[in-house]
Amino acid sequence: MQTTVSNRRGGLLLLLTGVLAIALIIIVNRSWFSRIAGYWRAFPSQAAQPDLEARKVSRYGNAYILSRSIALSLERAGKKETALVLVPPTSYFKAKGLNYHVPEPAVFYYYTSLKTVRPDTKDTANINYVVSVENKDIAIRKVKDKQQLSKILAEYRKYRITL
Amino acid sequence: MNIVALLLLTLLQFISGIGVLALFRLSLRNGLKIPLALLLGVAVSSLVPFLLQLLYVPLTAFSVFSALILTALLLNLHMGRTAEQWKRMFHHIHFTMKLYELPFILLMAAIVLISVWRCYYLPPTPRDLTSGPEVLAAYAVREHTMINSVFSVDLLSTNNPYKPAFITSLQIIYKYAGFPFGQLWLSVIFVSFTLLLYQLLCQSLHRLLAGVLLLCFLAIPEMYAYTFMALFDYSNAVFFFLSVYSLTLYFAEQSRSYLYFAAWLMGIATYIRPETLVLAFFFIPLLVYRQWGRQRLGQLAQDAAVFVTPAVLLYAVAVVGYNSYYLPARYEVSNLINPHPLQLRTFFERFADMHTSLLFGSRWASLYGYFTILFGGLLLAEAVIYKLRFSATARAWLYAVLVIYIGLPFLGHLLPLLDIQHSTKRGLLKIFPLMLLYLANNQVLAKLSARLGRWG
Repeated sequence: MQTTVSNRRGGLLLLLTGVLAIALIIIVNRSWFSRIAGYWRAFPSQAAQPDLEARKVSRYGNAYILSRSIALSLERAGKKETALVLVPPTSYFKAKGLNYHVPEPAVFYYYTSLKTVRPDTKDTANINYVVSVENKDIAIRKVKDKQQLSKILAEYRKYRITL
Repeated sequence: MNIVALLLLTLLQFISGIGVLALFRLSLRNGLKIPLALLLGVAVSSLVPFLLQLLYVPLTAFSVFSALILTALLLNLHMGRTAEQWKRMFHHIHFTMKLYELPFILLMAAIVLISVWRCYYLPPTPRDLTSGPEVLAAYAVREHTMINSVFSVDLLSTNNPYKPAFITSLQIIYKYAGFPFGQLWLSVIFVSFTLLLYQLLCQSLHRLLAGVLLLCFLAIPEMYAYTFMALFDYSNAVFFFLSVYSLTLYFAEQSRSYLYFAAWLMGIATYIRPETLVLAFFFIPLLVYRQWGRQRLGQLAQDAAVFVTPAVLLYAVAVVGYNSYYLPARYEVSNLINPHPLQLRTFFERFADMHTSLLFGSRWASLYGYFTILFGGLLLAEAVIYKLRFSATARAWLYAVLVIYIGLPFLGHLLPLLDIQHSTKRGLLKIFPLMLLYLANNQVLAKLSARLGRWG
């Protein structure tokens, strides 16, 4: 009988020690735990938004939205399948006042099924469309000739290319 | 519907995992067997679409799931052995929990649930994933082959499509199972690994201490982040750890099954991240040291060869063979190797950088939390109190910690493409489970465990 009481008391002591240990771990790692708490708080709004496209928009932001809009324009024109689009780097858009982190070609293809190249590409011969900024808006132009493309490439290559 | 598909897929992986355990004739108690079988099942299933691809079988939902079912059946073909595994498992099902474990379990369950939810809910984010395995898997589902239209895109900016097919294969399976973002295989790995670690800690420490250590381990920010951001490193750390664990069992029990199992697991870790092959060779001195006196020279050489062979073979198939003979554009690995490997200046620079940028840099707490301090403090305490007389098992775990500690800068020296801010930062994930298992064998904690044991 005495052993049972002792075990119960020991169990309570261990429970108390455990709770104190948890409190200490939380205090020491408070910035990490506050991030986890933020994830918890985001749960209800995330659960209320099951739409796949909305989840992508929320996670990828402008990189996804603007890439999709470029692809959509070419799709509407019926040119998406045959297009190889030259997209200037992020620094170009920044200089023109647009917040657009340009995805690298593989990621652009993942987002949109549209084939793109960066200005440092070796495959310049097949480029048939060019993205630029006109009046703070994204424009897609068809390449007229090699001379025009060389000029555009030379301009875009002045901007720093980052991932 | 999705939940049913996930449960069926997990069950299939579990059956495959039990088959693997039977194949290696491993007899483990349920607490270890169940999570380990799940981990092995994920590893096996990651090989299936890749093997189908090697045989040029179209990767349709039918072919992938048929192959997964067939694999599970084939692995359980030796009815005598597998029946024994199943019988023992159902015979010894019992679950005990002490009241003082409850707060730990509830908090850890909440942490795990958040990870699982984010894995399911959020689309794949890391650039290494979206520019490689994820885009390949997305188009493999449309075009029924891993060698798909992604390779017609300008890939000048990335080498990610040329990495081994571990993630691509799993993403294909989970996309076909009805999860458009895939990724939930990572949750299976995370949950199973957490359960396994808890069981391993409880084997040698008081459950209260096991809870404290595991909670500190879960609170390593970088480690936790990669439980829902699908990439290679967390899975690589898990299978690397399992290999080392099996190696410690080999040293303790001298059963060659554990050596074969450790070798196979190191092969899986290499399949996930090919540079692990170099780290596999770092274990040869440990093998020789621990078996010296027990074995003749020939047997020692045989053990060493056995340990590295699966890693070499999987590297040869998944990297050399696949890149050379399957992928439309060849990715030259040889160009990436440091042409002056004997000039060790870059190694020492890397070693210093690892400390100044990562372990003791301005971001150390936000990257790795306080776990390294806990490890260092308890290591120092044991070294001082017990005058460097570590147990044999603790020494093996410390050796493994040293392999990562020295091995990562060495890899950076050998392959300059592996940078500090990404490759080494994530490569360090491998060191934490090894530290944790050293702590499970720390004599200071063992003594404290014995004292706590008197309370209940």
